[in-house]
Amino acid sequence: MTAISVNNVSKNFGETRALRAASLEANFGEIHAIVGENGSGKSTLAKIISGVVPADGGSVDVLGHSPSSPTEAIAIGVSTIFQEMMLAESLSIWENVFAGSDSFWKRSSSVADKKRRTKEILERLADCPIDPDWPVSSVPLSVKQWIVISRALLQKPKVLVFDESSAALDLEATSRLHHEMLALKADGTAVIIVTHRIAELVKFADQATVLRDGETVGQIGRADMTEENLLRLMSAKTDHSAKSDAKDRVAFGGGTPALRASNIALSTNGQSFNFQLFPGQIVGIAGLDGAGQAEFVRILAGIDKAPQGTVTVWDDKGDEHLVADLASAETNRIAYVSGDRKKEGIFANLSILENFGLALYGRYANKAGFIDRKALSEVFKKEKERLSIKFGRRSDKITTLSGGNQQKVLIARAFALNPRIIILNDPARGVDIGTKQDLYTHLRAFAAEGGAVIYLSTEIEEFFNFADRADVFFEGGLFASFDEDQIGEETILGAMFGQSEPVEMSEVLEQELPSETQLQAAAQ
Amino acid sequence: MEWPIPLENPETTMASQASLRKNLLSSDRKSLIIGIVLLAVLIGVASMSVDGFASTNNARSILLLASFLGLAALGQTLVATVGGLDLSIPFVIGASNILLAYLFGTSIPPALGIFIIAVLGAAIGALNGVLSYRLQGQALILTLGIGFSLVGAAQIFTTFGSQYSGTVFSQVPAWFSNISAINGKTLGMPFPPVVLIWAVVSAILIFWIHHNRAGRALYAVGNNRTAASVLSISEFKVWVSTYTVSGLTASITGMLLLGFSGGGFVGVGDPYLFTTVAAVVVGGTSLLGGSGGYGATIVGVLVLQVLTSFLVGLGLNYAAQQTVFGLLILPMVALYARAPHIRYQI
Repeated sequence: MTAISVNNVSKNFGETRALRAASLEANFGEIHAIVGENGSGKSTLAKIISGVVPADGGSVDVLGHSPSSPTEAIAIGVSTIFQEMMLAESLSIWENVFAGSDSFWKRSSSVADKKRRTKEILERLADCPIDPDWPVSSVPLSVKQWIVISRALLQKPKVLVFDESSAALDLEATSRLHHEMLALKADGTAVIIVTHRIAELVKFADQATVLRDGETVGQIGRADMTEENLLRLMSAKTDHSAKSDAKDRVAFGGGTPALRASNIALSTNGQSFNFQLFPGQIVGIAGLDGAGQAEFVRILAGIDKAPQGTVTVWDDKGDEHLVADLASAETNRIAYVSGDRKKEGIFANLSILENFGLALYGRYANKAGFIDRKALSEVFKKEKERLSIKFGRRSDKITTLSGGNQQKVLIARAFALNPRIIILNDPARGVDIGTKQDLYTHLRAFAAEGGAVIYLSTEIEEFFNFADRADVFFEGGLFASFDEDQIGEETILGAMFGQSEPVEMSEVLEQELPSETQLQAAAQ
Repeated sequence: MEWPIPLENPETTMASQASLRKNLLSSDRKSLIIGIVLLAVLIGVASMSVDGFASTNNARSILLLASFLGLAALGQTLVATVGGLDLSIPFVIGASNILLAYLFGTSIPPALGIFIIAVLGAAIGALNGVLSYRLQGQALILTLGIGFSLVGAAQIFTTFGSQYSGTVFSQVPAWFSNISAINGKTLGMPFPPVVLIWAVVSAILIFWIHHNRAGRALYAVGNNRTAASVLSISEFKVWVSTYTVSGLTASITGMLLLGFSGGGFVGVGDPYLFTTVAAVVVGGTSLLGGSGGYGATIVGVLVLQVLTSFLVGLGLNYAAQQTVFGLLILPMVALYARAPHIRYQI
């Protein structure tokens, strides 16, 4: 029996199109997974089902309703476990578990009963003794996650929506949770789970809806559910074989590198790894959200400190220098461009020129700090032409520009620093296709002149025809590295999900063939 | 290659951008223009309804009082630009006022005494800066607390062996009185030197803010701390410097007020709690940081001072002035605060 029926739903957030044509059909007594790579819209789809965000278009039918708020969703029997931990830290555990269960005039059950049920469910879930009177602030992160989960479970939902794509649960906890979900399923609940962990998913999900670019590209039933099938559906079906024609192939590896990261670990006890970048090379960095790639590029740019390991660069004379902080990154001509323009890029109240100039005042000011406006203006004119930034007057506020042009100003600012290495942290986020193409052209030209580029992206397609190498992060470390001819949707996506072998059917067959012949030879 | 299809109808996007641009373009300039118009209207109305308002004498007294407020509000403007607030200003003014009067009564040379008080003011400012940086988001109550304890300590210190608390009598040197007395002369011209000092300081400050990288750093930090730190602009240095300047200008104001009144009185700074913040806001500098500037504050200072003079001219007593003043600030702020909210600007 159908519990949820979502048809052709679309959703835009400003310029970003999160969902285009997402559909999902889920029954009672079923564990239904929503999978897809970063930005495919899976969390948005889950939020639409739980009434957190309204759909822009299409039809939503959840238990015969179309919930327009989380409260309404709860009223009709939809519980949601949100990614963010929404807890009142100074209140006790039981108060948090039963938050929202009482009306202003009436209690849903007695305090003693609430405490008893809190203790019972949390000790089962968290597998450790719990006093329901403890303040939430006193318990570790993992227990907090369980509090959020038990809150949803105690509502006895008909539909449970769980977004675990960035949840703070370890493997063992996840399997305990999955056990809980199987119990819910047995009670006839429809369980919707958004997840990255496809390895476990194939073991317990009944159905999987696969999203790509905000579109449902397939629904896989229990019988066909394999990691290979899921990954294949997640990745685009387009042919990228023409890539080698587009660009002269250069072999990197000899000579002095531009940058080397040695024995880097992203957390104090994390796995350590090495990373190398050569002059003229463009290295793409990928990974699922939270796999460590963002932390890594920030360390290379000198913004954050590495918990372990060193970053070394070589100058024109071949001398070694350490990069330990922003100052040493600047003297060694490393420029950083953030894709999170709002948070760490633009200065919203300031003019276009000022946003450009703030990074350069150090170079275009005399000893007393007075700025050489004329020289700065020249550089601005040059970089503006180079990146073809479109704007009215340069004294206009930066916020009058489109996202793409704002990003261009930030990239112009990095280029104007005359860097040897340019590090871009997802610069194409929320940027139009024309700007993207321009950006690739400029970065290639920069590399052709001997510059080195580190390009983190959340969209794998960005690397095609562009990167000389793609390094993929998984669970806090560098997991796999692909040369230009190996870069493909399936190889990178597989590595992002922790698959050590590229999921290419032909390769699997090739590996098996010799063994068969060997067997035959042995038989004879 | 498969790319996401175009995002939105380009025409509507461009139209909304154009209207946005219209709103944003002039928000700084707009509040400045509103301020100047308001100032002109106030002067016009006051001149017509109050006899003697448009006299040289009255203009001189307005400018003199504006100089005090202008100098006190200088620090407040800088602090507001980086997104902070300094409520210790009135207390630093009061403390500097009585401490200098006290020092004038000792054998310490007057010039050295002035220097000591200026250093003390800057030190208090630096302390405000360091502590409010460490305890993020607590600048308001923290500066208030430091100001309170300073003014209390200054009273205890100056009243040893005296039965008067809060007032200190001593001989103020004539040359020092001349700087800020209503009948003071500037190189023979009939206005006190403090007006000229204020004008020169203002001109230097405005030029420096616009053309010096340290001046621009104030706006960078005020706009976006994270983005500024990525450009190796030290938020700590900027933050502490602005508070230091604020402490310094407050103590200078307190000392000049001693020259103005001739006797030390600890409560002399009290009106400046409200007026320094009001001058900044009326001028159009956002208390959220990152916009406005001292030029705007000068307009705000003049508006407030002309308004005060107008109310006095109408014969209102202090209580009535205060009531009208407080009520008038509401529509004024509403008028200025019409710059689009920050969330619509990003």
